[in-house]
Amino acid sequence: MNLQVTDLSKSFYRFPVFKSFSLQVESGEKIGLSGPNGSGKTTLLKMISGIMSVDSGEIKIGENNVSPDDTAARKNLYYLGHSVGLYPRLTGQENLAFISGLYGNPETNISAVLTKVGLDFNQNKLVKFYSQGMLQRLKLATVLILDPDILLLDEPLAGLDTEGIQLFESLFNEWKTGEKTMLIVSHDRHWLSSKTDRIIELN
Amino acid sequence: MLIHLILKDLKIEWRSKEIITSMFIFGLAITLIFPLAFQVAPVLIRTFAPGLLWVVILFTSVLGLNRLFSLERDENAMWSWTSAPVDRGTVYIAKVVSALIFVLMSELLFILPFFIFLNLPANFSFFQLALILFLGTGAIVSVGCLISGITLQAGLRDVLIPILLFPAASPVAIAATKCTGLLFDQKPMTDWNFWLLILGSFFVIFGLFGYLVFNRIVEE
Repeated sequence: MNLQVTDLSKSFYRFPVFKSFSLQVESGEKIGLSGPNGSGKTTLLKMISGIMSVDSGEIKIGENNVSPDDTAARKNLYYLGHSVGLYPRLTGQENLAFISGLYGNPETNISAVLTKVGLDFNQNKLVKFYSQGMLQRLKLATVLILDPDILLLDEPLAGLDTEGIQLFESLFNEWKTGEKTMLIVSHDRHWLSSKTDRIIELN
Repeated sequence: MLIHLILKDLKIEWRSKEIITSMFIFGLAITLIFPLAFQVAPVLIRTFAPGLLWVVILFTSVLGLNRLFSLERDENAMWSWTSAPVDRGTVYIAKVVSALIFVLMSELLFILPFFIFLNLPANFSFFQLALILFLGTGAIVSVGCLISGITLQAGLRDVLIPILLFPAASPVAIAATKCTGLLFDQKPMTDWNFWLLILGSFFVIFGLFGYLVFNRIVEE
């Protein structure tokens, strides 16, 4: 599924972060986003995912516009951010079931997915007791459950231990062989260049 | 989807019991203060009682609404549904239903101590009181959820919710107090159904308005 950003503008307290920014990502393409702190990498992913509003411009996923009134565009997309986005007072299993329900997916394979990401022994533990790495694994589990066409990865390795990084690498290879469109934010340009088709530098 | 969202709030509350407990204890504390503060003739207490009851409900509702929406702010949990293919109006309706359940449950707990401590006679229809409480609380939470949504990303939201809610909900408080007062005076329902209609209208109009605009107000 392709992604098109046209003439996007966004300001924070009159300080412009994006001015007439455009981007075209073809179906199955892997794009890296790099740049210094505050250059708008996370902001761009949040706007594409619908978490954050745009001041002007248009974001299209396939044929659908990303807007608060149009839920269709958000159906095939998942934002894996470095902030949590999970309910601390629900267990890992309950969080997955909740998010899965939001996307209208069945809750049948949650235990299997949690086993795959190494959280099988912690699935009934409240998320507020999860470490940063465990949270990141839980978010990877969400991607496996939802299987979105477009994946927005914001610092996906943040907090992961060596095993976690290996897990991410193996999952990434699975996604890469599939037709997933990906936008990946990372400060590590070297790592980013090994994972993506091209890198866009934001200033 | 609506039930899915409501069940999430109920599950979190069932586990922590934080919202209902804090509302009940706060409501009970205010109820205890009233007879101490107003050491006046019982007949005067009876005159003030309907207004006092709705002051307690309004204050406890603010507490409950604040906590209910804080669940969404903790660890940016709201991102789970703001980025999902979910109509945010449905999220608003789910919040209204959850808030209504929590506030009504806390009312159920402090209504008896309210009557005992203020030494009020209970010679009226409990069904009619339940109807007033339901519509009045519904009207307060439908306005309150809208304001809580608007202030969800605000830094001073703890202060903003009561500052915005009290004036917005004052017609509800007036209508509910009128209904309750006339009920306590054992007047027939035909004497106060006009005020009941106002409560119902508030509940429905703000409910629909919230459903329509919630898409636009919950954004980062």
